[in-house]
Amino acid sequence: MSKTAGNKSKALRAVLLAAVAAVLSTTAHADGSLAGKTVTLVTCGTSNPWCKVFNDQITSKLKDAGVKVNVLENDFDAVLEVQQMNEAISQQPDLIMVEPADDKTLVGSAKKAKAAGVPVLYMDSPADPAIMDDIAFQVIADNVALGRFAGQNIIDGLRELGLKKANVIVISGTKGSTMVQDRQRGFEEVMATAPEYKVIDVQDGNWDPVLSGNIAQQLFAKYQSQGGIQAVRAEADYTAIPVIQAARQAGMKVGVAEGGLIVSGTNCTKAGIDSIRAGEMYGTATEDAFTQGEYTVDAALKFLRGEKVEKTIVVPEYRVTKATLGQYSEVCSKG
Amino acid sequence: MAQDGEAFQLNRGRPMTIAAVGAVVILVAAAAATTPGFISIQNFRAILAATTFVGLIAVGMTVIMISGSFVSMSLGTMATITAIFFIYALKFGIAGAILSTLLLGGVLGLVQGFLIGAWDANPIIVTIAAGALMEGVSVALTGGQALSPPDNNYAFLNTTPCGIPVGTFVLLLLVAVVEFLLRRTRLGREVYMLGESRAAARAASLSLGEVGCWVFMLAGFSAALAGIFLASFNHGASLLLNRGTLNYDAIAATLIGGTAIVGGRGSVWRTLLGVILIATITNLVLLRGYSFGAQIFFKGVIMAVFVIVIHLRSQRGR
Repeated sequence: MSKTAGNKSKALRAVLLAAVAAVLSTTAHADGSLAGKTVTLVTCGTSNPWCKVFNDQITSKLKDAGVKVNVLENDFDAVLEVQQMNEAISQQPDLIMVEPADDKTLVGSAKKAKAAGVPVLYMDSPADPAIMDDIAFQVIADNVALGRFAGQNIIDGLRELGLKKANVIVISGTKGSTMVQDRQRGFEEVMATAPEYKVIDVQDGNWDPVLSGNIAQQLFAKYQSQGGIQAVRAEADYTAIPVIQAARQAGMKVGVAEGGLIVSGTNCTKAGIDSIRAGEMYGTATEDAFTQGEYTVDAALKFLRGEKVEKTIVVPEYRVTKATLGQYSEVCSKG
Repeated sequence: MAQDGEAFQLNRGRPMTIAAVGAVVILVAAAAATTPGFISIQNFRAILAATTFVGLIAVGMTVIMISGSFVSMSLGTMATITAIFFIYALKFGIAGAILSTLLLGGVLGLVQGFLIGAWDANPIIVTIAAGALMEGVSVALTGGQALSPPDNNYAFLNTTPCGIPVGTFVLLLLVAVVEFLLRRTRLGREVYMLGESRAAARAASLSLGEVGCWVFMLAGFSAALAGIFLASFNHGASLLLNRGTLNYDAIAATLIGGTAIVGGRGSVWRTLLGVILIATITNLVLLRGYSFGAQIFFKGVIMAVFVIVIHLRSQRGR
């Protein structure tokens, strides 16, 4: 299939999905102090469990405050998102809230919004430095911290195994995004403190669980004759689970109890929490959709009320291991 | 009959096909010989394991393409939806979950096949719409949440007899059964005839609706098999399983396997070779340390070469 045909079918699919979502959803009406204000939410789709919790958290609180919310969803489709940004700007809302599918492709949209006098709130992933003057503010995850926590999980796990040296691989999200690069930077910072553990390969899993499992399977085979792989950082818990299964199918042991592969996620989901509890995944880090949405919508409401909001709000993140499971399992299990 | 025409065209275009296949085999062999880690039992197992999900979907895609319905844009989504259903149905026991998931896949395919076969609806439009509808209904029913299995009663689906995943054996069995159906049964001959010429099939009093239903039901069944193994491998399911390129990879494998996009020619075992070729090239690119973008690029190049060769071959055959 040609790329153009693929894009057309994607666009048609997005239109149909939006139509289905519109039919299936109910419209909430609420009165509140911000009645008359409008927000256009340009965000990832509800087919992604993380996005579903994130979007619900934001839209419900905005509606409770009386804000009229228009939602434009995309499945991390950067081209579609630019079109949605154009549509959002033409609606002239009081605020555009955007979860960037690709921060680089949104540079033009942010400048266009500023020229049209529409403030933009960047959510979750940081804005490109070139448009920091063009956006109103951003509420972002502390991605460097998330990477650091994953690195600490790997180091602690390998030390618990008593390994004096080890090979570590990373199966990342889409490498081009600032979010993924920041996480990798934090991860490498911490790994540099344990030079006996070498990061020997970093592969782009594109946030795809099927692809991540396939890559892991092939890297396990590739490095078998070069000392093997003793630890893996996956970008999300839902991509860590197929990595673990790939290891099992390659005949490897997994987890500290078995004296096997150490696996860390870099943001948490219910599947990851269950896996940590079962002793397979060593740990993960938060960036849960509920907390992320909570910080974002609170900042948006403050802005709409005319209160002063910091240019960059960084949501605090936490390390999740068996020891801290009790503290974070509830919020992590929402996504 | 279609197969006679196919044999004639194959004979006319054989030198070009052999040259193209030979060139690819030599290139792949040269790359393999110079790639550290490629020639090992574990790597071959990894390549085979990588064929399972795409292969199961590609079997259905091949039958659809042979029947002249071009491609289905919904098989990847059907695999995901049936994966979600499989995890939900596990609470009724593993046998019930497998059977009901296969049934669901068959029914989802049947509905699309009826619209396309009996009403002559455009297969691309119908399958895109069906995919979107299935995703929408799935979000409504699951609340967009990822489903986790209630227990581990599906563990045998992740086992690896002789070091090869059970899913790969199921894929080989499915290929054998579908190849038999296509070559040795009346239904199979009708599928080829329908793909060769819809008008001729109608003139021969074939029930186009019935054949269309069978074709898409078979495709739904193969997508459901993929769904069962996807859910088992990921120990859960959500629409994120559809994030990748399963559907496009299945189309690519079918085209590389030599199935004519306009229908009437093709076979599932050649599609299996297409799946293995894509998995091998992806593996080589990965082992040689190229990026994710390079993997997509090489896949595209190979697909383009094969499609051009097949197109030229069919032109010369006329």
